[in-house]
Amino acid sequence: MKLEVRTTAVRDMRLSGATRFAGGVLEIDRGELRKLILEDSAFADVTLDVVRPGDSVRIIHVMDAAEPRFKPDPGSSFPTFVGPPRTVGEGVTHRLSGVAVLTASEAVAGEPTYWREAVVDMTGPGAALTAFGATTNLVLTLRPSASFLDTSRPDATIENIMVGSSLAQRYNRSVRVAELKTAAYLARTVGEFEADQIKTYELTPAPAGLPRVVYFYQLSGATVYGEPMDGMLPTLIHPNEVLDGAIVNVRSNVHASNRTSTHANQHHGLIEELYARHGRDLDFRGVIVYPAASDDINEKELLAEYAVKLARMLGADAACASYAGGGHPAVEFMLICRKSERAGIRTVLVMPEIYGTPDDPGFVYFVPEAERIVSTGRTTQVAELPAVERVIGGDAFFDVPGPPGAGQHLLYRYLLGCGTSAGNGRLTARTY
Amino acid sequence: MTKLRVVHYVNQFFAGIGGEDRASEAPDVRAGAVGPGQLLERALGASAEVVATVHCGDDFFAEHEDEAAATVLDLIARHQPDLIVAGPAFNAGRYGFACGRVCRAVEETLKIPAVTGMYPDNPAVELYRPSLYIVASGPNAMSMPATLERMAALGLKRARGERLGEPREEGYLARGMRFTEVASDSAARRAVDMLLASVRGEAVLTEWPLPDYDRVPPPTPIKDIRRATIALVTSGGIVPKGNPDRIESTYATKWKKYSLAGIKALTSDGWQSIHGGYDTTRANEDPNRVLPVDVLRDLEAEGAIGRLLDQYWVFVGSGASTTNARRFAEQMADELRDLSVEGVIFTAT
Repeated sequence: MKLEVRTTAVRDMRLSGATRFAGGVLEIDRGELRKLILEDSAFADVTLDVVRPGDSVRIIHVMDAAEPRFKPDPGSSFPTFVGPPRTVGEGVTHRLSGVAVLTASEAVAGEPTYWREAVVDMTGPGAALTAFGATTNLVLTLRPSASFLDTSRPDATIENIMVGSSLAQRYNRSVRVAELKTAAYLARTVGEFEADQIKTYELTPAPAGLPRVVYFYQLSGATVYGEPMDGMLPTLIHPNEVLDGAIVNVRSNVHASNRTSTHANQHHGLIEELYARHGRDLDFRGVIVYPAASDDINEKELLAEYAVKLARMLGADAACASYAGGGHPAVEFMLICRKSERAGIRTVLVMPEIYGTPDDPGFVYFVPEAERIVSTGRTTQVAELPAVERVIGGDAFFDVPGPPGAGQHLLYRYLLGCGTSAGNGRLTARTY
Repeated sequence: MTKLRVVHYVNQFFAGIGGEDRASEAPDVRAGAVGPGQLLERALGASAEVVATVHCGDDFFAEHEDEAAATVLDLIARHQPDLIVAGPAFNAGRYGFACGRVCRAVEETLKIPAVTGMYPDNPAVELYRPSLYIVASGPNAMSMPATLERMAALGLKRARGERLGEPREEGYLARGMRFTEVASDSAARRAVDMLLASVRGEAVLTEWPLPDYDRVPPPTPIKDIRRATIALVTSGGIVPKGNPDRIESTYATKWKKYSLAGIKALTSDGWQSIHGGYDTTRANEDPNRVLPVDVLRDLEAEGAIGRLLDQYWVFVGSGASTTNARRFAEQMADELRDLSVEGVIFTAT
């Protein structure tokens, strides 16, 4: 499976009367893009903003983010969201670097918000903690149509507080479609131009004797080719597929700090790192994706057994595993660590520390085999953020009092992608 | 530049008064450095001086702890120090407890930084390490010079308000406080480095040490369950419909109790789960699945239990810190005991 990523650097992005690309500047036809997004009756309106690194801007209510990418025929861009259900991770992908598409919206009827707030600062210390502080971002602030705000509808009832009403789930998916259509639209425009850089991803046979490494990837609020993983057994996926748009975040009620956005999958830190060292330091055998399980201990055991069995079938003797966060997911995650170590597969865990005060050990559940952990930071710590001139995405935080543009003592938990267990960021935590 | 003023606290032995036979000596003070204080002064260098040595017999301190601590604190305060250094106490239990108590009193009451030194197995370490900077010493006075060097270096940093490094760099026993920092490499790079080093058989240092939780021994069995009052407590988030007290769905800071008087079973019209960490569909269909009032009322009617207490306690476990959870448990246990509850069924999710 060979993927060729053709990157074109975008120096600046502007809203204008026509979509075109010249001299590194991407102009976007505001009317055409609005029309494209508002094809979906889920939205009453959309506001488009371009924000740049250093702008005195805070974006709130962020739901997801994606990098503009487009796959020419016979490929499929973001299969089942934009393009047809075709395997990605091979062929050609056009990619725009230096820019991202962000989506933000108020919550709809029956949408839980206790973990939903996600903040991106374009200036100050917050900007340094997120990938989107360094990119020029096109922000789509989506306004749901009246039917999505009608709490009296039967499908606005919350049956499961974690995922919210079926109406809210539909809305979340529509938001991703709008985001990914925009991402593909932008990249298609630029894709006709010559790329600045071409990078090839291919797992060529590695020399014998190198450690054979697999990656156990725990998914939460994400889909694989548009399919939710809930209730499924672990399955294999090629690392190219993850990098090429197969995994899309569809649930916003996940801690922002460790929410693995669609963008974080396109730039998945662990996968990029394992790829970079494939054939030299290690033999990257593949990725095992599995869902954060429900509350059934037998299901958790089975998931762990099955995931480790797949690793053994791949001949693994070493593994990285990432934790999606949350209480229940900690159990199957740790069971995988135990079973993997017991199968002779040396395992390193990558985990955000999402619980507790500084004096709290912070574990929901652990096994004594969890001796090698990389921390992606304690997200219950406070970051001091400056006042900003402008707020995009909403008028008030979901669960933080006061005006969102004021100086804030915000928990790291609210900063989008600062501690994702995909390993993209540099945060850690230390014991004092 | 004025020198930093340091007061040294030692026991009767290191003050040169005598051994076990003089362990009942009451607190007193001497001007300047005494005994190991001279080594301390050398380690502190030119920028600080030991202005006084306060001492107390180990038995006296152990037997009159409040009085001794108050007197020692007063003797220390008179010298207006910038830093207190206590010990090192090595593996001596009574001396260790005295050093810990003195340091904590100094920090809490006088708001002056304090540093002590102990052998990691000293019984006082467990009590004081979360709140104090304790430099790790050897088991006995053989390690005096090296320990005082580290205590002096750490003490100077604290007195000057400088940022402290990690415990293993500075030589103090980790207090167990976790703080977020920015590492030089991405988490992905660090993970793969750690994995490869581990596969090569090298010793690797985890970034997040596993905790050592306390274990609660089970109480003695209930003598006669047919007469016992049984209470329900849950972390599963079952509340009256509409969540009138706005119990948090995650990161709990509070608990509530609600009446079960006259309630034979919970209904989906009257009750719901607001827990933010599990699929609540089934719990909302039938809240007895999480808070089994129906079954307990049956058992009560059959005489299998004495009675079900007419109220229950609830909070949400999802994301609750162990600090808060411990506080909840203590508050609830007090109430349960006052109500002569003999057994609790705690349902978690």
